[in-house]
Amino acid sequence: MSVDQAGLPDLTDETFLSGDRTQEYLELRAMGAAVPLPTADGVPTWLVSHHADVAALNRLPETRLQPAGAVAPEWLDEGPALQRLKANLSQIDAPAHTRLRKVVGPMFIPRRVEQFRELATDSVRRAIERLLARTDVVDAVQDLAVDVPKGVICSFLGIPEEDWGILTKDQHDFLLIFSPMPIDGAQKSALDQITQFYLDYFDEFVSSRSLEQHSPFVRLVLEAERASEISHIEALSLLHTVLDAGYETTRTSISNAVQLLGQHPHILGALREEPGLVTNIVEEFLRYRTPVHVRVRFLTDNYVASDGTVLAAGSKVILMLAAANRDGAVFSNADELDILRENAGSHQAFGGGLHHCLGAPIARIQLQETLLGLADAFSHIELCDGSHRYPDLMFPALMALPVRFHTA
Amino acid sequence: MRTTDLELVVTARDRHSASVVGLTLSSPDATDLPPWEPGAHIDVRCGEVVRQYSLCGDRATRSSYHIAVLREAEGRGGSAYLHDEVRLGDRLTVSAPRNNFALVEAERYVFIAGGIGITPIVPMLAEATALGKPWTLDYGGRSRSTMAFQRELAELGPQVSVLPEDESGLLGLEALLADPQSGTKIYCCGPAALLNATEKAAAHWPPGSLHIERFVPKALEVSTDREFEVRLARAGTSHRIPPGTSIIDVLADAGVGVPSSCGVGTCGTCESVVLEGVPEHRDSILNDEERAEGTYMMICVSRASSPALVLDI
Repeated sequence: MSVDQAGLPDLTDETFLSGDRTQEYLELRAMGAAVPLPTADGVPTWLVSHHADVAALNRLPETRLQPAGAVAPEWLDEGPALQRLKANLSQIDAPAHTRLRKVVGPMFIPRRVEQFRELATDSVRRAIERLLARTDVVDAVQDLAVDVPKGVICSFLGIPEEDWGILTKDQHDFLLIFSPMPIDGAQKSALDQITQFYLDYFDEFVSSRSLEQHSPFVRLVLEAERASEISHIEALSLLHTVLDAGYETTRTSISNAVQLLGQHPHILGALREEPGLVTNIVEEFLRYRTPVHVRVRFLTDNYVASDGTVLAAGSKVILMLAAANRDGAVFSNADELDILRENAGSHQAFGGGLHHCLGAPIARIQLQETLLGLADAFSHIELCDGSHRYPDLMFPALMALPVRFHTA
Repeated sequence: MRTTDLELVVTARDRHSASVVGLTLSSPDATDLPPWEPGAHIDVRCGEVVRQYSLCGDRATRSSYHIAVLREAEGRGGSAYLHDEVRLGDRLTVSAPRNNFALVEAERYVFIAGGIGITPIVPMLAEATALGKPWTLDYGGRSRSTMAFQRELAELGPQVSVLPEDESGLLGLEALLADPQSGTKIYCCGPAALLNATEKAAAHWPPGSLHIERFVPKALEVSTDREFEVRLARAGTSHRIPPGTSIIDVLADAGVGVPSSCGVGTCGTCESVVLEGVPEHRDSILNDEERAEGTYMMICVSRASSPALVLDI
């Protein structure tokens, strides 16, 4: 990992951002449990990459997503994005977070989400049918990884699949809302514009039909609004979050899975022999190729890291989820992919604690059904030249993954 | 305890102070034990309970470990066991060394110890000396008679200040830490009040300067949990769930892995079916009817209000 004169890692280096990151994360973990970073605004900032600390900080109920006393980053001024952020489940703190999570949380636990497995199976089946008709090189991102969550999310929300194009076209602009650093004026206006588009879209969508005609999930959210448990913008935000969070990360995880299946050809055969392996394979894939690399927390109390370093209250901690998932202290031969790994499920890919990924059970189902569908239809996956990742610290998504799917 | 545990023989007992006994634990066949770094501790099985003790002997002596044990009047039985029941020649089960308080490289060190918190600091002083790094030690305690290692520390020279409370009052932390120095690391171990005071006095130091070790995890100090039993219908095993430990952690230690994710009762991954008994729900997922019904529970946080639970695991 390239470092500056003080020996601190350069997190903006393009080669690092679009690369594999295995070596850099190894070096980062070796720098210590908590590496202090220089800051412009005087808030002590730390890179935390050991599993013990990432897991503990994810689970500490007192840590915040916004600094103490704030509801949004200082650099985000008035506008649609600020309004949206203040209603965004994955960016707000108690008590608003507790109130919103209470509305949607119960619907997303594994027991209840099982009923949506059919949506995933159906979505995978349709995507694979289209792939079977192709003999040329296909892009596993556009021709498979997009299609699976597309089918699931459209059914879950009850939105027409024809709208998918306009809903995802400029989606990466919206991801700026999660930026751990200030964004510039042009980025801010792109973010405001796309945010307003989503709010308008869902506003029109909810009023386009009666309550009874909406999907069970949308009904749940609208009923909570009618009961004054949540505001109108919170209701629209919850619907948009299902689209936004459910699409980006699931697409990335499926793309990553296809790449891993191509790099480790024995796995498809192993899955065909023993489909029950799929649960653990999905966990190991999420550990080994984590879709979201970084989460940020603010401390409200001093935190003592696993090597005794004291992180002061008020500090900003950058939780390096993907680096923690390769920590040899928890995972033996951590940089090797091992589909039989017993503790693969101890990964931090979904975060943890109060802000644990809401959609995790649905993501798991989609990944499981995709792997089973691919094992059923194809004998092997040949990786072709031209794959590349988006050079982003938090969301290093595969943008293209050219492959050939072989049936025999 | 785990398969990497060691069975060691008590080969010496020394009195370090009126209330502190030192135990030398040796490998039975005089072979080398796993190496350790200053700041490391071992888990020691003390009858029914397991306690952590810092290693405070000479690292060059590879066939034995040395620990110093304070008799704690309100302790949870571990220290009384090691003081009163363990004799020369007895065998103790201990874990391999682990380090949550590693000495990181610095230009200079400020060591602060309170009472039995001196134990991890002792090997750090030797290490800093060996590395040729300047250091100071401020060592507080109730009174001289209670403070261990005074003779050994006196030999190290004037950079050691032994400051018993009944002679010189509380440690003057604000004066000691008044001037932040980049390149200097502060290592502090001792009772919670000392750690808190040090955290406060060092608040204006550069991030990463202060390293501390707490002896008692914060959460355990306020625990009001009761112990109960969990029986697993399919596995056929039975487990005691002590206060302060979750069902899922006890099961994981016993080799029964249950998928878990959030760890605080919000994601539902560890949801388990209750066949008998009454759960005490502490999750934030189940609704009122489900709570009353008691068929499901999140075993990462929820406990039992009946003496036993039977789970479908």
